[in-house]
Amino acid sequence: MSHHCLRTSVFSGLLGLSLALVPVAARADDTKDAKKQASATPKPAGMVVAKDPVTGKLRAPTAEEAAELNQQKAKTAPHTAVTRKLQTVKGPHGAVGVVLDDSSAVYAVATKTPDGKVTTKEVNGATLAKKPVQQGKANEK
Amino acid sequence: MRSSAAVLLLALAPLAVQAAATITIVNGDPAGKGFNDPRPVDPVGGNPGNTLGQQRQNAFQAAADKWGATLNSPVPIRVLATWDSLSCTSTTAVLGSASATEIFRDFKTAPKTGTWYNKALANALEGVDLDPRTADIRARFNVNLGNPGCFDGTSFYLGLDGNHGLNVDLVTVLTHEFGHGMGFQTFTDGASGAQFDGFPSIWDYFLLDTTSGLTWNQMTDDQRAASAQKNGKLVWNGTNVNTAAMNQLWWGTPSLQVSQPDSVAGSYSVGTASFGPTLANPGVFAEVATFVDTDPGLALACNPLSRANATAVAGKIALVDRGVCTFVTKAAYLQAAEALGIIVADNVAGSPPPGLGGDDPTILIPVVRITQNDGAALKAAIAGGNGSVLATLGVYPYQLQGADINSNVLMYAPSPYSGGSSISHFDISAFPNLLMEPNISDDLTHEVTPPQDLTYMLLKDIGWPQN
Repeated sequence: MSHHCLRTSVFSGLLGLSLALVPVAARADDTKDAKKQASATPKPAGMVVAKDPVTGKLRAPTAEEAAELNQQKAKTAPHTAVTRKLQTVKGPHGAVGVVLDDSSAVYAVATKTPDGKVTTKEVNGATLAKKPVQQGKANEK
Repeated sequence: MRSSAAVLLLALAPLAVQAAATITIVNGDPAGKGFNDPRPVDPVGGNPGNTLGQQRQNAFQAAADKWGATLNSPVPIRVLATWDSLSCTSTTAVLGSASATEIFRDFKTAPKTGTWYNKALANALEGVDLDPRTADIRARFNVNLGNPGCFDGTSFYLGLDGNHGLNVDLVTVLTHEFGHGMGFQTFTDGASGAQFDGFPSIWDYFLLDTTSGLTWNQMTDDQRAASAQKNGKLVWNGTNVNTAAMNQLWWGTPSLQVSQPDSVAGSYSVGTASFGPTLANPGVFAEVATFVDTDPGLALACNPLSRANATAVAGKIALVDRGVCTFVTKAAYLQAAEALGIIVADNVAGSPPPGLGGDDPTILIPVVRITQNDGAALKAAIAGGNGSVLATLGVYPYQLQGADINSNVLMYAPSPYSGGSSISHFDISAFPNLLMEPNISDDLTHEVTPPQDLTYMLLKDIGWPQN
């Protein structure tokens, strides 16, 4: 029984994987797929310049300025559920599939407490995974 | 040094165990890295690998074998796995992730139309791979864990016996994350309530809000978003989970049971203290009283009580406010005033009420925390003058730990919403601890079935074929 999956790329990968995978030669199809997903990681769009607060001249942003800009962009970005375009997959017999991006991934995050114990929690996506876990402390008030 | 191609072939070979489903780990790492790391290591905890890469592969395969022996699918389940540099500091680290790569709806044998199923489950139901070009689960784990600057000194324990000590048991984390990949998650956004592309997930049919009697597939976006923060009121409405829970979860839930007046009567969620006596059955039954000479929110008990306040709480359960001093300080002053028990009302919004930290072996009366909202309700009832507020502080014996009063297993629904933890996990009140709580407990086994765990029962509820 043969089934043909038609993958239709109808979007530009606004929320593609944020983790770059090292290209590997001679891999299984699954790995090629991973590389393809990695290649869909969004690139900065447009030129970004900063206005020097001292000279008033335009220049390339420093790393700190770029990071701050990215944070602001993230805060003002419309909700992902509304804005993301879906990469669909046509399965057999009318099945409709969607490729999930990293925002759907559930990450385990561990934090070490002052007494050396390890606690974990789960967060969504690579961005949230970077946030530290809030921990209760023995001397909490 | 084993080449990545050789490891890949090993991964694709049939499993040695008699599996109801075949799960293969597809090695996506480059030569010399991750699964292919050639550094020699000693065998540990039943893991016979003699290189770091082999031991990582063995740990992954152990978790895969557990699920393979549990689930039933005619379609091999493929996990594309890599070891990557994930975010970490010296004290906080992303351990890893394993999630479905794709979801499907309206395949020929789908039990419900217009409903999302994760790929591995959809394949199992359909009997074919709906997208053979793509793995079913994508797994990434932190290759740097334990290195300087990345959770310094605390590594993944690669043994298979669970004796992880102060390290992180990789097989447990993998088993948990693979559980998500097998379908232990909704694809509906719990923060906004929006369904994925306008369709419910199969998960949503089993997510019941007991305040409205509606399941998530029956709600509007706003209703779902509100429901996602109803701690203690959002339950799993699946027969397999709730039947198994009756014989697995322990009876007796720590709680504050208010018996009168009617305006506040009911069961209140409590956070228990790390000091003082364990809550008991029968508990402490008494009138609830608060300070009489302080402004609202300032019954702090950070100093010896005034005569008036001491008289007010003596022989009663004292209701005081969080803040300014430690919990054990409050407890010591209230105990000295001869209170029988202590309720600390939180001073910030949020639910469930967290536990109370601290250590003082001289505290001999029970102490709990309740939410800010519940504290306000009890204070209003006391001030209202419509009769005494009577309550029992202890263990309510007719409620399973981790279930509501009707023995429906609770789902994690804290306020505020916690993306990644909320909704797609069992509640943290479950005891014995469950694999699919949002925090991975030290006392977990590697089992996913009763009597140790309820994860497989939930997967059966959402449609995984019977084994």
